[in-house]
Parts: sequence; C-alpha cells; structure tokens
Amino acid sequence: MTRSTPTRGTPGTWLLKVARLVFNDAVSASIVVPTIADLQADIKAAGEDRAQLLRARIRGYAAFWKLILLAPFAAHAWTVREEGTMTLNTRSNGFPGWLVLAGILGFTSPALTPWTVTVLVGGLVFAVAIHLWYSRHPILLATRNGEGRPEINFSRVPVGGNIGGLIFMAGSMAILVSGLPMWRWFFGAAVVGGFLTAGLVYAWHTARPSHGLPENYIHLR
Amino acid sequence: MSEIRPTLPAKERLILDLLVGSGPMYGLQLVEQSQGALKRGTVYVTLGRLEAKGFVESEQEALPPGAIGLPRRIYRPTSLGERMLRAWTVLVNEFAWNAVK
Repeated sequence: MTRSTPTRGTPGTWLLKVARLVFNDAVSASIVVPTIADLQADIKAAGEDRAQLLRARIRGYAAFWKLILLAPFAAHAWTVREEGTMTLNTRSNGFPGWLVLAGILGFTSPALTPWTVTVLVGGLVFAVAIHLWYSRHPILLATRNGEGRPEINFSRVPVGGNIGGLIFMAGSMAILVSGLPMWRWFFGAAVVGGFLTAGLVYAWHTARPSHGLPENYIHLR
Repeated sequence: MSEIRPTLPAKERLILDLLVGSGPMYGLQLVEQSQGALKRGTVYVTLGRLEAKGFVESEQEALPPGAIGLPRRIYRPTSLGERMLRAWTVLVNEFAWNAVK
C-alpha cells in the first residue's frame, strides 16, 4: 500500500497524523487520505482568494472531523478481510466512540471524572506503547474467515432479527439499568427515542415506496 | 457467520447512477454532482462500502513530478456494479408498481 506523506506545512498534514493514530491502513488509504486529498485540492483551487480559502478549509476540516465521529458506527464496513488472515489492528476503529462515551460519562457524572481521566490517560499510554511495539514487530493474526473478532463491545455482538434477539437486547438493557441506576432516565429516553425514530423512518419509507423499504439489519455492527 | 446480502441503499445507488451516467469521478466531483445528496464527510465511507461489495473500483491519480499533497482517488463502476444497478432499478420499479397496484 502506498503511504504518501505530504510535505510539512501542507494543509492536512496534522490531520493525516491524527488519522494514522485512529484508523488502520486500509481505512486510511481508502477513506481518510482521499478526504484529506480533497481538502488539499480544494485549498489549491481556492488560490489567493481569502474567502474561498476559508470556505475550503472549513468544508475540508468539517468533513474530516465528521469522518472521525462516524468511524465507530461505520467501522464494520471498513474492515479488510483477506483469505484466512487479518492484519492485527491496534488502532481500534471503536476508539472515537469510546472517547465520546467516556467524555459524556466523565463530564455528566462528577463522581466518575477521576476514573474517566485515569482510564483515558492509562489507555492512551498503553495504546501508544502497543502501537509502537507492533510497528516494530508486525505480525499476522490468524482468524477464521468471515467471523467478527471478539471484543468487549456491544456493537460487535450479533443479534438475530427475531424474538430471541429481542429477548437478548431486553435482557442486556435490564442488566445495564440494574447495574447503573443513575442512568435509568437515559435508557428510558433512549428506548422512547428509538421507537419514535423507527416510527418516523418507517413512515418516511412507506410514503416513498420508490426509495425502497428500510433494510432489516438487526445485526448491531 | 455474517451474511452478505446484495443490497443497494439509496446513496450507493445514487453513486452508481452518477458513475455509470457520467464516467469515472473523484469523490469531490460526486459530491458536487449529487446536488447536496452526498456529503463530503461520508462519501468515502459509502464508496468504501461499494468497493468492498465489488460494485466500484478505484485507483490513485498520478501526481506530476514535484507536486505537493496527497493523490486523490478516482472511482469507476465495475461490470458487476453496472449489472447490480440495472437489476436493482428493475426490482425497485417492480415493487413500487406492485405497491401502487
């Protein structure tokens, strides 16, 4: 894979460094690098016009940070699988999502702030150390083709689109709510919001049959 | 075991439509031609999915010697993508017609 490194001072150089910390090589090459390349092309096309230049920068940087926020939700589609092997990726695609979740917990629950900060700093140091080690000792980790990697992450748990899946999800939520009573309001609001959103999406698709019905992806990945 | 279904959501269909209709394009050109339907922050995610499904292929542009910056990627539909677009259009029209009837 080609790894282009722009010259120091070129717009997007810093973004590329951030992206390489967060995304694996496949995602960087196919999604992040083209986004930054667009930013650079846009800035180049703006020339000396200050207003155009500012507009190009705002649009380019907004696109990049939107990508960072979307990463945990779209990560499954970016995983590159080869026959019988998968490159070990220490730059977890779930990183931004966990960072956001940790930020919400840390800032909304003062009691959890020291814990959140400790975990974030410790995790960051550990992640950098692991990343450096694996950069020097690249390995291939054998996994069975077509199966997800085990992770401590609800989004990686496949759930069937049937009554069994519903029971699993309801049970999981019940366990979480009983373990985190202070977050009951949040889970309640999430359930209500989820139903409302589902109803709106269903109504929208029903009113526009040419767009097709929503896809029944119950797999939470 | 995850199951890959041959689906074509609206945005993927739009991208294939544009690529089949107007020829190979950069991501930014797709965003401009879509008249607001595609966004810069997400177009490459969708293109990545299309590429993973085998519906589009891409290659890096060749930068002239001495050029500064990253090379962009140019996307074109594969023959599978063109077939999928035709089949999906027929399928959607058929279902829409049945719904009206």
